[in-house]
Amino acid sequence: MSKKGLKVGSVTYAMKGRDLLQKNGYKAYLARNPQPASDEGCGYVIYVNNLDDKCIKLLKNNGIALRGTVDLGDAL
Amino acid sequence: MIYFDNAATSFPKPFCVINSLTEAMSLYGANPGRSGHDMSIATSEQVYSVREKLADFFNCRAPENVSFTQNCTLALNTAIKGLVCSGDHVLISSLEHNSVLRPVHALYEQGIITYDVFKVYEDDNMTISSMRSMLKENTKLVIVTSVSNVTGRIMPIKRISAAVHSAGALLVVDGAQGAGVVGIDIMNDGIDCLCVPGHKGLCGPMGTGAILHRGLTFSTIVEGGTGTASASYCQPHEYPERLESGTVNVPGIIALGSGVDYIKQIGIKNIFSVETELCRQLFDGLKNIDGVKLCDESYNSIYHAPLLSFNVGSSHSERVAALLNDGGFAVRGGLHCSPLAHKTLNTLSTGTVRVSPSVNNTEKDINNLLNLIRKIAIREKL
Repeated sequence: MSKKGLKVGSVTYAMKGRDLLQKNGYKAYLARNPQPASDEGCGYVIYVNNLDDKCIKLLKNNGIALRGTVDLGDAL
Repeated sequence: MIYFDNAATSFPKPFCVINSLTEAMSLYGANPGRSGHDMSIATSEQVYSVREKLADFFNCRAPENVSFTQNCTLALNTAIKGLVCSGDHVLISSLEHNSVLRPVHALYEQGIITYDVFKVYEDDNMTISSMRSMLKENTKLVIVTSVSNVTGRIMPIKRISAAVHSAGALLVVDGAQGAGVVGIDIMNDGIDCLCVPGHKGLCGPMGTGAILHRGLTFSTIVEGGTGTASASYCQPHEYPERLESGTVNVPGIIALGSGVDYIKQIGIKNIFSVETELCRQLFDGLKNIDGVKLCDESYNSIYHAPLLSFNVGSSHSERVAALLNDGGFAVRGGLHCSPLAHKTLNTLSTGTVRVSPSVNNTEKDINNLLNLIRKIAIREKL
């Protein structure tokens, strides 16, 4: 199954976002971004079991700046 | 040694703080927010949990609004220099520490800002009037201490905040003496930015502090590696990392979190009650010693945090503090890095002897201290 995650700028936002999603019934965990774009350098990813518009809205409404998604395919 | 210098640094530290510090050195030795391996993530989790604790303790809503610093002075420099622009006016109280006065004065000397000092009175109404009268159209910041480090005076932060905000300015509070000692609530007290040390009332180790705010935007005084947006040549705009260049003091931060747990467990009001009762006992004793001059005419825990300043005759406070040290008591003499406060109190030439007890002290400690001060007062009269 393809695995998608939300890119965030810092470990602080990754943890805040993960906790927020978990409190709202999502299964979420964080990891270092394994595929940072060349203009990003580094960052973290929140992996969510059900990446939908609702969870993106939840994160944005709580001040978490999202920097796109990362699709790891079947790699991990 | 009976320790009465908690306003400088709290001592002894709670066992849970000492244990956390050593545990952190063993278990959380990786760099937080930099790597993806398990120990780095585990260390980041620990640091993040202390952010959450501080955000909750001071009610600043969001953990990202808590940036760790090496002490309160760096937090204040970050706030003051990060919030003003060229042409701004800054207002500070007459009780401010050099950690406020010096950065403000440096900005003035560089031609960046102008500033004024408003006088603090015994009567809060007079203090508020004095501050209001000095607010200008271009006043950007008002900076006040939560508690004077010389007199223990608790400032009417909520009332000051209302006046500051009605003038369109921001309120920065120096929490050096108030954090962990009196209740400070950023949202309810109307504080825009709070700077705190970890090693005083919060019972953490030295080398820790924090700047807490309501989502303000700061220009930076230190730039460098943050573990975020590493490809960019510019300092990232996201908080808390924007204000945390370089590796943070992980063991110190984790131990600071234990200090906050300790205070919450005992209860800040309970600690305050024990300490102010000791101060009241000391005040009543000092009042009856010939030759002792107290900085305040009364001691009321509504207005005073648990610390007292006094002098013995015309002796320099450093001499009295040295005599007390010889007798086994740790107190602080001198100007306490607060020349403005001593100017206000007319004690610039002698400084004052400051006694700041903790919850670890007892009535017996105070009685023993009073006995020695009586002897010193007799000796200094000769």
